[in-house]
Amino acid sequence: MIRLQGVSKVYDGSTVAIRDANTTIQKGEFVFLVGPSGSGKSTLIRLLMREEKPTSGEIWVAGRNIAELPDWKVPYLRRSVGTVFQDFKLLPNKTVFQNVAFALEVIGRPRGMVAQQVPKVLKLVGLSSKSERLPRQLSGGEQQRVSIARAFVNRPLILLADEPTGNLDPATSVGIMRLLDRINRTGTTVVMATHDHAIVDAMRRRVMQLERGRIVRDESRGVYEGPAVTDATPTVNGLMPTETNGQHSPPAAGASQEVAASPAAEASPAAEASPEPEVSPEAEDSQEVVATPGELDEG
Amino acid sequence: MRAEYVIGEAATNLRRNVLLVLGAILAVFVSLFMTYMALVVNEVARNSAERWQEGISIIAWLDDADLADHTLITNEVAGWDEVERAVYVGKAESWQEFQTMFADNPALVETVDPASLPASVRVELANNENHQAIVSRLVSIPLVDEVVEASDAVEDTLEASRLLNTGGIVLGVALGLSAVVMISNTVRMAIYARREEIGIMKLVGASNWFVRTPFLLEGLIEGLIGAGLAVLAGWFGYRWFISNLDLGIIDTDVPQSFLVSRGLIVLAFGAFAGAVGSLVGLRRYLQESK
Repeated sequence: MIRLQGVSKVYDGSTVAIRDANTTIQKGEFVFLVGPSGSGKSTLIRLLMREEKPTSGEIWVAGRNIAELPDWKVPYLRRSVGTVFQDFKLLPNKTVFQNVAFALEVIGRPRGMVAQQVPKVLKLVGLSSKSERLPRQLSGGEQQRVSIARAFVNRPLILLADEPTGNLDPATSVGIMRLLDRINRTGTTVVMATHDHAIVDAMRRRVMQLERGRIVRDESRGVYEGPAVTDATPTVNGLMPTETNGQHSPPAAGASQEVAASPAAEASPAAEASPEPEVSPEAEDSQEVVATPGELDEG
Repeated sequence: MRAEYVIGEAATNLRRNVLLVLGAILAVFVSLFMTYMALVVNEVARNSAERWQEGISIIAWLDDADLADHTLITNEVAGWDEVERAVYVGKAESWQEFQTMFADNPALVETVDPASLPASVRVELANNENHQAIVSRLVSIPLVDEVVEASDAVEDTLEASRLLNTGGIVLGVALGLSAVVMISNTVRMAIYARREEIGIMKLVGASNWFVRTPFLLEGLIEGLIGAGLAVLAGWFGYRWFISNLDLGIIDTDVPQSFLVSRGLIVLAFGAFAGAVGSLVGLRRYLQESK
């Protein structure tokens, strides 16, 4: 799905943001990009969505080398790559429904399809009842759900998330991570830049660590701080809801899909089994995702 | 792309920045009005200049007579001290002149009998102060039928029209550029007001033309409205001008077809300026990845 080959990004001829990155991300993988600020996480995300071009190297996304993609084709790339950001990027004067519908309207989808798809995806993110609200009437976590709904409504192959929980409290972040996990289970490849230790340690997914523009570690089912996990556990116990406890023991062999967000994981066995990108959750299932105690307090 | 979407977005842009939009329309209007008027004045001047060549200030129309008699008169006039130059224009030349003057009015040319056009002596004076004396001396020559003169006012007008012609076009071009700049600024403001929206549009994969078209239409509308007002003002201004001002011998009649064809050119230029202006305004904001 994604392949980087000798990718470097140099700004102004001297500042090296990405240095000779080589990696492959398979379809359906969930990858964390971790590392301190300035390590190149966001640059990598921007390269993957062709917000920027690499100085050298090849970036293959969905079978195309996007380093060579002519500018006029970039919009078509973006239609198969959903993006979520720390600051949500919602339009303040549009309702939740309109914000999500906007993503379909501007790529020329027929009205019937918009009317059908938007409620579906709002149900998935648990915001059916708030579709007529404006973003400022929502909590941060809810706004991020809208932004995820907008990124996902077009059923992209890849979802890129740059610090999606950066503005949210830990409890709310858990809800967002469950949602991303659920989207990942539909077969969507998720690449998420974060420096939230707790989330990475709890999810136990592939972790790619960047250090001054270099990929210095790449582990499947990794944790934030590298192979030595000892210091991660207490932090997680303090931040995450109790249900995530017990996930920090080394993962059972073969349990490749095992994740921290257990309710979501258990609730959709069908989605796990089938790779088709169609998501049709039960109503109470969505409610369950929303009803994280921390989030209710937040509003 | 739905037409109603594009039109709706363009209308929103126009509404949001009313003052700027009016400014842009006004800039187009002023510049194109100047250009349109310069074109009309140029035509008037061209018509008149064919007879009132540089320096010729008096024309003495002659009764039909032998060429010898006519030559005699011409030579006599040319011999006067106050006369710089006297040129004989025969009947055949008059006919040619008439044909060029009314080239855009073939119906009129058809109805005129070449033989009815008189010969004339065109007189250029060394010194304009002797004007009246020369006119009365010409009138007293038996074979002279009628004397017409370019009065100072006419001379001034002709001079002014020549200035207007060049000045108007230079000014029109300068103002035309300012109109393009105004339109591009207006479009840029409209883009700035909606930069969030545009950023998200690009994020979710709206094609460049989808983003661009409403702004292009906005510029086009501004250009066309400005040009339309310029043509209307020019048209009625000209009508008022010829019915209220008598410039004597200057032929101020410009054929309708001329007004229409130049009006269309002005409209096309307005649309062009609008499109160019908005594309210039759009360029920076739609740049893709670096």
